[in-house]
Amino acid sequence: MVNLVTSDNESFTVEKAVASRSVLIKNMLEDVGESDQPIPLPNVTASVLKKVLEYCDHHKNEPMPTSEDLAAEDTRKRTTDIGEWDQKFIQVDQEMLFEIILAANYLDIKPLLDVGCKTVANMIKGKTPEEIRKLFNIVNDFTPEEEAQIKKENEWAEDR
Amino acid sequence: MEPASPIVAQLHKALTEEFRSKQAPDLNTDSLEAARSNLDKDIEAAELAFRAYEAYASRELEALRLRRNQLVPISRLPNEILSSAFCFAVWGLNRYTASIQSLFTISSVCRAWRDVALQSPRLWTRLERLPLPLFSLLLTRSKQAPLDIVFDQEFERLTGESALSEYIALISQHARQWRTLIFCFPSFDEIMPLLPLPATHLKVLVLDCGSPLDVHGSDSLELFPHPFADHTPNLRELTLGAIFVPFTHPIYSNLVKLDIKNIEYGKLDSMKEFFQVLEASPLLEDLSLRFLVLSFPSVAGPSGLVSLPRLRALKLVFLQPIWAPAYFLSHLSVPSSAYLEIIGDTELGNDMSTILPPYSSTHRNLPNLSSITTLSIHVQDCTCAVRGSALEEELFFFEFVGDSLEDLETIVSSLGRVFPMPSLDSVFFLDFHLEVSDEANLELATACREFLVRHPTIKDLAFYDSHQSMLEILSTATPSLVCPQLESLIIERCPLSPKRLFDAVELRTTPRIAKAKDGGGSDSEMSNKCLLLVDIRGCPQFTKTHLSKLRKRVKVAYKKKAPRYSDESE
Repeated sequence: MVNLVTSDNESFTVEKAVASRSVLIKNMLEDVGESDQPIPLPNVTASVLKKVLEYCDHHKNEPMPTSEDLAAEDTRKRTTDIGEWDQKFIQVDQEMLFEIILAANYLDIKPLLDVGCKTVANMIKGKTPEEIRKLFNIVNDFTPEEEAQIKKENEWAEDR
Repeated sequence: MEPASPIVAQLHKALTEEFRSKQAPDLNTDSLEAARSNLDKDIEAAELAFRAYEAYASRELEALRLRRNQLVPISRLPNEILSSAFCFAVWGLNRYTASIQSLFTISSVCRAWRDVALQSPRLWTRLERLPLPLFSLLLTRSKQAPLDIVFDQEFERLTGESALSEYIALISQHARQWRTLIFCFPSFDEIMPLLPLPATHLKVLVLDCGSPLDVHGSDSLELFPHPFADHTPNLRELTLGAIFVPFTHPIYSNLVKLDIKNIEYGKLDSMKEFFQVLEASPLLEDLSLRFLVLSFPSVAGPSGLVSLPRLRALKLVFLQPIWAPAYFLSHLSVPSSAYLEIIGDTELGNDMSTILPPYSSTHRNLPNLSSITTLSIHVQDCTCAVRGSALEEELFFFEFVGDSLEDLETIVSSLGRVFPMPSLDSVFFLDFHLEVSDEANLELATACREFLVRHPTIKDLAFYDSHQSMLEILSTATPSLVCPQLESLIIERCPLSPKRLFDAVELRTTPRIAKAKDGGGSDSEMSNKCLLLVDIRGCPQFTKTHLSKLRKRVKVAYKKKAPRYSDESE
């Protein structure tokens, strides 16, 4: 078992197979060897770690992505399909979604990071700039000159 | 109009006075002229004051909006993660045009998003049919990132007045960035300027100047003796359509995928060199040979078998003459998990023994053929498609195309003769009905029966949209019972009479122990195997009475309506 301590000082004791879904933790465990010392995770709060561990536990028996998988995904088509369980798992408010993404990035859990990025992508897809601004509570901060340039580019993009 | 706030008035006064103080003194002596000049200077000072305030307010507003946007939750994501999400949003769409629109939409949301997009060259690396200014813009924004470029026939139609040569000139300057170059165009001339350039990072190359069914490349016509200055060290996937590049060229080195189409080979030496390429390609996973004509007189191949240990798919599509598929198959050894696809027309032969080499000589090099457990035979319009699979992995697909399907009977009867299928346990017949006559259907049923008799291991049988005579073969016990181990039967949208089905069920649910005592061991085994399930879908001729009669003998699943069978629904 592995003991993880969050930024808000909460402890989580989990199976090694679950914790090792995080490449960061896996490398730490390999470096330290067998030890009872808790692993501090200063960038993750308890509420977020709980969600991340739920994901890791569900996927603990799946093969880890290989370097070949990582290299292949940079080319051509990228799917935004998300598995059924993952879809339900990631149905959280925006605050939590971004916290999960940040935690996945920090803990180096590539499949979870991808689920997060795909979820953001699916939120963006098919929307106008104004609809995207509304969804993410963003205001239009372009200068008139930038607006003019953007308008010209968008006309090219639509003129096909 | 609301009265101006005193602060605004004070601000305006202070600003105009400042600008006014910088103006040159008025030397005009005419009082009217002096008054007019004075007012002109007031107006100028007011305009300057207004512009100065407007510029200041804009900057302030801009800074406030920027700060405001930095506080929204999504701004907590680092740029590389946002860039990754953008990549999914843009390149996760099916249509290229939709991807490009999505790319420009993302770049129009706010300054932070635009900066991330513009600083992510990988977002701008797919160049397909775009107006020239946009094509050029993407090329610039791709910076030094690897490019995926597609020129196809759609290109000409959609790019307006700009000639393809203008696009070619643009990408020629970025040869070092090419990762994918797909050129599907009827003209050779257009790509000529690209070919002398070394393509160091090129991974995928498609040069296809042919059209289906039209062979116009030849090994006697060597158009490109030294493509890419003989320098494509990273090339892994190659498609050549109607363009012959000698097999001695380094372009064929270390390939993972090779697809050759629309070429006539008149020299036996070309084929010898082709097999040498395969021998030197241990990483090859996908080999497709389509619309090739072998016109040399001899059928001599390499002396031994060429082993392709990592091959996943071998596709032989419309090869001529009739012996061509067998020629390639008899010289290749593939893993048992490899998928084999053969497509041809019935003029080339509908008897599989003319297409496949004799099993005795291939069972070691094509082990996938005989390891199948499931077979489906689909007749539709002018094609007959035969698929074999094991453990839900498709292992072969044969398709025969012809003007009529009079020869279907021959196809069915040759199945299983050319290569045995000892593990076959599921068979699906789809659209097994001929429009010609009832006699033709009876002949086809006879061929089906012979096929089924040769495969007594079948446990699951399904008929979709098939003629009743196909199903009637199940309800007769003479000369021998077809599929004696049958456990489940699916009938979907078939005009089988309920009585016939009941006869078949009765025959297969009555213990045959008595016969076993007289007849010998094999029937004794059969007595333990009996039909367990009948699944009836979309057959309205079955009433409740029929179903309850059937249920006394076997488990029955029944759906009154069933959608038309399609590959997708399967």
